[in-house]
Amino acid sequence: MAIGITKLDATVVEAAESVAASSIEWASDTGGTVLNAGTTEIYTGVTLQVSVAFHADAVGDGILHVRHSADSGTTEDTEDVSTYAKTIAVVPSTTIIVSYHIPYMFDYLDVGMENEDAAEVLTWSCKYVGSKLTGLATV
Amino acid sequence: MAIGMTKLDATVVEAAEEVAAEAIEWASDTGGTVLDAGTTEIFNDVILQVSVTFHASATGDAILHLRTSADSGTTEDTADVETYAKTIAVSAGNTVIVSHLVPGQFDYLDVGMENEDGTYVLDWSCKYSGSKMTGLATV
Repeated sequence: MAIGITKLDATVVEAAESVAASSIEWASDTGGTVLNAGTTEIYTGVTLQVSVAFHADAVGDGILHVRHSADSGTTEDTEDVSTYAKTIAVVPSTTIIVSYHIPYMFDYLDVGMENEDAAEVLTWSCKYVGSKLTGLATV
Repeated sequence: MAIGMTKLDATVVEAAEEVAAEAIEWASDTGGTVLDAGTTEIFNDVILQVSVTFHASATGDAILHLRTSADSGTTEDTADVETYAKTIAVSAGNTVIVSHLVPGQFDYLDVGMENEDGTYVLDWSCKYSGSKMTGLATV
């Protein structure tokens, strides 16, 4: 099978999810879709775009987390241990949109949003642009 | 021979190994499998996923080490001299799973786990996902 490249654009990881106070919500939880390449595929040059809507009374930041798996999601990294990616500083009543680039090829990526506010829910969504190589051999 | 690319997923480096107190255990020691590309191959953007289980009374961290070789393993870097990769903070009685990216291309990689605890054994395992280019010419 010939090697090919597939363009990925506006691909949804999370459409619109709430994160409870002082917790993390992952794409691998209900409602999201992790980036999980097929058997003969691998992602390359992916840029996540995350939207975070803060409550009017929020004082805690949003924290973007990413975690990998070497076996297509059977075993994911331990939450909040080396999964930190980026801080989205709180702006009450405002939606903040930021991008985060994954500058290497990967097979599996789970995306999480941590709400550091102790009282108010935040709402987030995530999509990405990038590409994946297809038609790879396997062993 | 045409250049190709092979997907690597859930490839085992260490299945389940113990590390004695204040010691380093390498994949190149008994029981492990180093990443050693074939004559016409080279690894590309590998993500190691390491699992460490700490004794219930452990107080010392675990240290992930990596070392390379310019001659496919005949001569490896000296252990603990510029081989540090990542600290996995002790979490007594728990298993912690972390990923570590090895960016770019490489021919050989040996993976080691250091146990900084002065008394207790730790258990570790390691697998990886990534890819390798195949069908390279040689000189």
